[in-house]
Amino acid sequence: MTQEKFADCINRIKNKDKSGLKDIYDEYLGYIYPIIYGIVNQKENAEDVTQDFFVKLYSMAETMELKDSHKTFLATIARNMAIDFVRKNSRSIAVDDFVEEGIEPVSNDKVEEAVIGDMTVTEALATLSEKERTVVSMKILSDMTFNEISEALQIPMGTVTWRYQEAIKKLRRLGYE
Amino acid sequence: MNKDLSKEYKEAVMNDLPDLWGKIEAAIDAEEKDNKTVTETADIKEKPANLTLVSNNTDEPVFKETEPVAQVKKKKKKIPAWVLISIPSAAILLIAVVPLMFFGAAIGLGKSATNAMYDAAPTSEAAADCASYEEASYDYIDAAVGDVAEAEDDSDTKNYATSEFNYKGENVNLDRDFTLGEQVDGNSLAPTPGEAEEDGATVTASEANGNEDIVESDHETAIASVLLITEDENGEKLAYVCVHEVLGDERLTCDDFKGFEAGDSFDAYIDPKSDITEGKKYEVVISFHPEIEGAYMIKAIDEIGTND
Repeated sequence: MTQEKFADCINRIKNKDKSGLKDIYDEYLGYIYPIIYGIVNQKENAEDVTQDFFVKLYSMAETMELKDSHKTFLATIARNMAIDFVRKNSRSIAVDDFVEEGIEPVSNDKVEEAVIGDMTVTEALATLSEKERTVVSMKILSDMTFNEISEALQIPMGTVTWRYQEAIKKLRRLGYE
Repeated sequence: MNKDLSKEYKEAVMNDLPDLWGKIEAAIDAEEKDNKTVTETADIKEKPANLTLVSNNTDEPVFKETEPVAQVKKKKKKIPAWVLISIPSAAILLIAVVPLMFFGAAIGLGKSATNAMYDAAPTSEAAADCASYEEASYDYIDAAVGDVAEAEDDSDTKNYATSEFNYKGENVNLDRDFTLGEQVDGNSLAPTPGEAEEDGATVTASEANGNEDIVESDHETAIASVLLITEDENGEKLAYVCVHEVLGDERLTCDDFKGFEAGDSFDAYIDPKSDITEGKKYEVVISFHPEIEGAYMIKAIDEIGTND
């Protein structure tokens, strides 16, 4: 979507025309959802935050002033909303949604026994600890730097890099580079 | 065959994109409805409290002025006279008498305030002696300070000198004249070079007066593993350290640095003079540097082995 088309969508939203938001939704759901999922790391919560993101975008359209790339702007809002959600719900977030989907997390001892070649990425990620998976998701899906992850999770940067390296080592053993 | 983690992970999430438009639309509608209700509520004019609706036959409501609410309330309330007297009396007692009682207890029971003031004030003779002693002591301590060539921090030495003076001032015999360089009861007033600097530790004047040797320390020695070496944005080397055992038993009173415990892990800058390798265990000095936003710095004293 070009900057002009996006500005047009925002103007339509200002006139209480939801079609402006629908166009943005159709174009950017595939861009915004992985960013939020990468940080929230749980399907239901990621959906809730994504929904809140578009509702917020609709309500803030009136006061919105676009200066830089709208794509970066949207990513920043999504990322901040997801980080806020994680901070507010850091204690109540469920272990993970992999269990809900019926895939049991594989313990570290069982990694070697797993049939490496047939493992899907979801199954491979399920072998990681929740903390490791969060760092990997933030890095890969949300394109965050280690420094940004460290600030978002409020843990030292060394811990972030340590967890990422440990996760990558495990995933490498499962055939993922 | 190696698989591309980043590509496959993104694809897996994209294949599972939810359809949220219905929910979003509903949430926006609900929000707009709420806003509308709030606006309508704000537009409704409030009926004045002292008006009563008397007729509803016409389009506009007709109100009749009744007695003001404040007056009605005034009639109902009648405060007894004893309450009016007792409340201010209790307040006066609390404000004036209770603090006076505490003050009396503080200066000593059985002594009048005048006596206490007399005791506290020095006589003119004693004051003069004090002044001469003060001058002599300062000169003496200044001379002694000159001898402490290796003292790194002047402020520390001055604090020490001041505390020394205060301490001696409490025990001095005021009838005696002091001369430059004289010793009191055979003990030198001057600090020794070793006392002036205590390996980076500071004894403050107030603490010395209280006879408490509380040491402020901004470092700690420990056995620690270096798990990972990274660089910060400025290219400075950072070590991710895990503490196994804390050595020494210093009393730590520094505001920001509370020391470490076994099992703690943290990021620390590596002392440029120190040779530290990833994956090894060291005896280290961990120092606290509030000037670089609460960061720590580690310096290896001895290599102990490799990480388990």
